[in-house]
Amino acid sequence: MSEIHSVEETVAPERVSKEYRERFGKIRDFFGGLTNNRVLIYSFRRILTIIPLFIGISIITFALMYMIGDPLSYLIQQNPHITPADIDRIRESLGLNRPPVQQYLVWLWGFVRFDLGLTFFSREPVIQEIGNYLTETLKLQVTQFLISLIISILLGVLAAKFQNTWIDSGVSALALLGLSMPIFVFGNLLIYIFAGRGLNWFPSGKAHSTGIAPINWDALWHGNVGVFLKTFFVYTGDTLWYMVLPVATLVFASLALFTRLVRGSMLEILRQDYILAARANGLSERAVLIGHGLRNALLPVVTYIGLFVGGVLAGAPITETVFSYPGLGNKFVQYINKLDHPLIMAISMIITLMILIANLITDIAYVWVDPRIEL
Amino acid sequence: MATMSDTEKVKKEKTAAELIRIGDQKPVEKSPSHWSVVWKRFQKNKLAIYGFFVILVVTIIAVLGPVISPDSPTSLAPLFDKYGGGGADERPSLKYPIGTDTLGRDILTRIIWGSKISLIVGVVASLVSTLIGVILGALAGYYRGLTEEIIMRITDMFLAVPFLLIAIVAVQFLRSGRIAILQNLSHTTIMISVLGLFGWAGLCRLVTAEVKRVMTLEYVQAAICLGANDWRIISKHILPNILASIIVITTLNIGGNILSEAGLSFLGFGDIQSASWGRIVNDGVENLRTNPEQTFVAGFGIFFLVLAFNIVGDALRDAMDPRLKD
Repeated sequence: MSEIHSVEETVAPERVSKEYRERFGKIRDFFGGLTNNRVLIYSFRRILTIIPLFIGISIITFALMYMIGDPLSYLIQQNPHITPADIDRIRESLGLNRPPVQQYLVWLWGFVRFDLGLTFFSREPVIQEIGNYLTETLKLQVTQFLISLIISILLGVLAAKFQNTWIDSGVSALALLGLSMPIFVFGNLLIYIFAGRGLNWFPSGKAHSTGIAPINWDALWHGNVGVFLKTFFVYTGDTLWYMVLPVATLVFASLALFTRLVRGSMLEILRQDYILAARANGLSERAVLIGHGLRNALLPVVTYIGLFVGGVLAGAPITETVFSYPGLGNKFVQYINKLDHPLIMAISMIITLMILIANLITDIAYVWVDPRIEL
Repeated sequence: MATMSDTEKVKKEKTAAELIRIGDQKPVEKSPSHWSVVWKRFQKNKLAIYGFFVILVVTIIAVLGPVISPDSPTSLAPLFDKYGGGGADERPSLKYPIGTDTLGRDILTRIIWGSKISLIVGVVASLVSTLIGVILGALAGYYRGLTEEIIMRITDMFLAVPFLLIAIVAVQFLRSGRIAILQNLSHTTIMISVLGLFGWAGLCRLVTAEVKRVMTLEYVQAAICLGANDWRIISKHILPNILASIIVITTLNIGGNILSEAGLSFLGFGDIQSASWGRIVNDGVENLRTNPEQTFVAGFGIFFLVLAFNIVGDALRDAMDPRLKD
């Protein structure tokens, strides 16, 4: 009896007043936890590994891009009367007269300072040139990501719940079809059915109607809420309407991986003892499936989100080309033929960075969520 | 009670005697080998047999392509064949069952010749990446330490590469022919090298993990104790035991590579003259409303071929390791 009492005393000494704990307890715990927080230390270590990866990929990209050809050949072809002196002058103004290693280092130093340089052709800042395309791509990808996540969790849980029934085989078949369907064929099929002669429901390309007014933020600033709301709803509705077909294509393509993962992980979890215990305790089937099953089944799925983001972002050029959507991938395909070095490097490295960060967040989230993982 | 135990004893003696007698005899049947068991399990999967059949048919078409349709896929003869149903963007007719494209080339001929490109690129690129992945993975998993660290960092890099973008840049580089030995590469060679060289990272990781797992098993330890050299341990003891996963991943990679090749061709990279299925779809998309067959016949050709490879890959996985089925 006395032993137990002493243990209690050592474990929970009352050092601060109750009032203080109520007011600052959470904050103090948070900052106190930082110093010996394994997740934080792991995150720092993990962030450091990104740097060599990024540099390596940028070197490969730059070397391959540099060796494709001379960016000026297009210009020379366009202007037959150009003199060698002019060519030298342009070469110098674009920085192409430097040795390639120096060019790369200049680019890298610029990227570190968030300065992506000027484009070769329009001589405007790269960020200004691709900023809009970046938002359009992100809009498309985030929407499709959320939708496919929700659908695949639903399908995966259903397939695991009704294992070896027609529901299970149906879901597996759908996943297999999504995995095997070329994005461009499915996209064109949707265009043919829903945007072609048959049902003219959705537009087949572009991201906005021509001549539509953008959201009027100034009106909100000046207190004119009515105008703001009107432009907001019209613009958002228009955007969503244009996004239906590309998002449907992307969701179909990316459904397969997640559905399979959720199903497999769910089946694994449903065999565990604590599921049996939950059922034995008389919990409802929904509580067992969602509260005990899904929460644990989603853990391994999280690890694949980074991989998934990589695949999806890298696949963006095809979808965006099919729907002539003004996104990064579509522009990349156009710029690569013009050999606009700053633009090509900017697009590919922004996407690389996004993939690396997605991987990073995935790894950290995984460690954070599951304390059992060794670091 | 006593009588019971007596009879049991007699029975036991009998069985022991029988066992000895059986041990003296030669076995009537050989026990089935691992691969025959796998093949039997594979055959039970009806869907996989269909997939296998599709692959077989496409292979036959690819091999016999020049016999089935002797015309060149770039021949413009159908353009001038007005009375036979030819012309530019013609609808299907008896002589040209899928019609002709904008330049007046027979699409069926192009699809038949294109099957060879899809198949060769898919299979050979997968073999190339398997070769690289297995060699690097085995080295990393076997030697550990610095070797593993270096190889794993390179693998990480290739896993984080935005695949399609880098592939586009690489294809353009190989097409440019700026380096003398890389000039005049065919569409197939370019695609194989790009897809093969950028697609091995996932397999390499898997092989490393598997080799590390197998290394802890007793028979490998026994081989090390017996003084077998590294090459013998890797090739005779480790690789045969991880062959199942390698074969499965390679088969599933084939589908992915066919998709990538078609995607790159669809975007207009690679040889413009080639009769790749992706290229045919790209040519046909402009006439999607008037001539949907130009897009969808080749498009669904890719789909069914990739589907077949995926089905066969899944079936192989189930057949080789039934525990992985779920």
